[in-house]
Amino acid sequence: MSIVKRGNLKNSWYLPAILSGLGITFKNMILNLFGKRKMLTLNYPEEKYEYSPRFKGSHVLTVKKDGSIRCTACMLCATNCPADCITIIASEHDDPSVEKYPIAYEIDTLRCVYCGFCEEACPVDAIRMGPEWQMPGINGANFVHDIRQLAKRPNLKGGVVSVLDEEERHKAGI
Amino acid sequence: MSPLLEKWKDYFQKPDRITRRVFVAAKGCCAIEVENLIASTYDIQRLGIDFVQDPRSASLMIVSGWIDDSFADEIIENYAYLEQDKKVVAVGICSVAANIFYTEKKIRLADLVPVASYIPGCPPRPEAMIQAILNLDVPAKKTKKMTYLSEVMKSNG
Repeated sequence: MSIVKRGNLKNSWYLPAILSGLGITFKNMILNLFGKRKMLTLNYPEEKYEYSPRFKGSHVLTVKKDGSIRCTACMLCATNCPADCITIIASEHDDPSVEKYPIAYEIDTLRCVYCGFCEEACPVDAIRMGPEWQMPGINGANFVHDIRQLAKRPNLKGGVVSVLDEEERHKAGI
Repeated sequence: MSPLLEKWKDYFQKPDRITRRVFVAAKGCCAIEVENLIASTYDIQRLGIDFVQDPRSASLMIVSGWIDDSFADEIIENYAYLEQDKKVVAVGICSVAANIFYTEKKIRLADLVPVASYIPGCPPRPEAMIQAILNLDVPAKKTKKMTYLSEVMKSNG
């Protein structure tokens, strides 16, 4: 196959093509200088991306109004977890109206796939997928999150209080 | 120090960020998130980080996706080609822990090469990758070694 290039008047002048290309460059430069809000690029360490409220981030254990953890240690989340990353140890509570409560709740974030099955399985709204994305860490950092980090980390500002009513829950028999 | 130099002191200081050239060995669905780093929203070239095609001119390698035998050979070969101050970042749980999406064998990246930074998530956000690359320059904090119940339960059987 041979290609025959015939020079015509339009192709022989290269300067208008260069100028039209530069025009696009300058147009975008001026748009970015005077309309910074419409600029696509995010200056990441200074600006943060706004996620929608249904974003599945790192886990949050909700608390009751008195500050104790809502989890009843029913082991449904640990059974439903496909990645096998949740470890719970249950214990008896002093209060007779409370059946049992977790003395240890650990999530191995290096194994977790953030699918949200634990949130779906939970009958008492005790675990949620929070709004923060997964934190990276250097080799040897703390990746196994315990109760102190899941329920009372400083970003949560005292913990997330669940709106679920305690009396309704007992009437339904959960 | 003269007042003129004091005014321009910031320009003579040692920078807190190091320029990095990154070789990407990305695979699977995390590769789409890694490619987002050089796209327009998270433009990492403004931070002095760039993707290159040749491992001989890079000092950092980003590995993502599930690892099988042929990909393991490729990682070991490319790690030998990297420049001095070699560093490897593992992206996503497939390469970090080989947990549920493995194919033939469970091969973790830490079994093959020394890993500097782990990024959990399936897949992780691009911000987490930027944060991991920037945190490589920060010296590590000495943290107290904790004993976890999951480790105790494994040892007890």
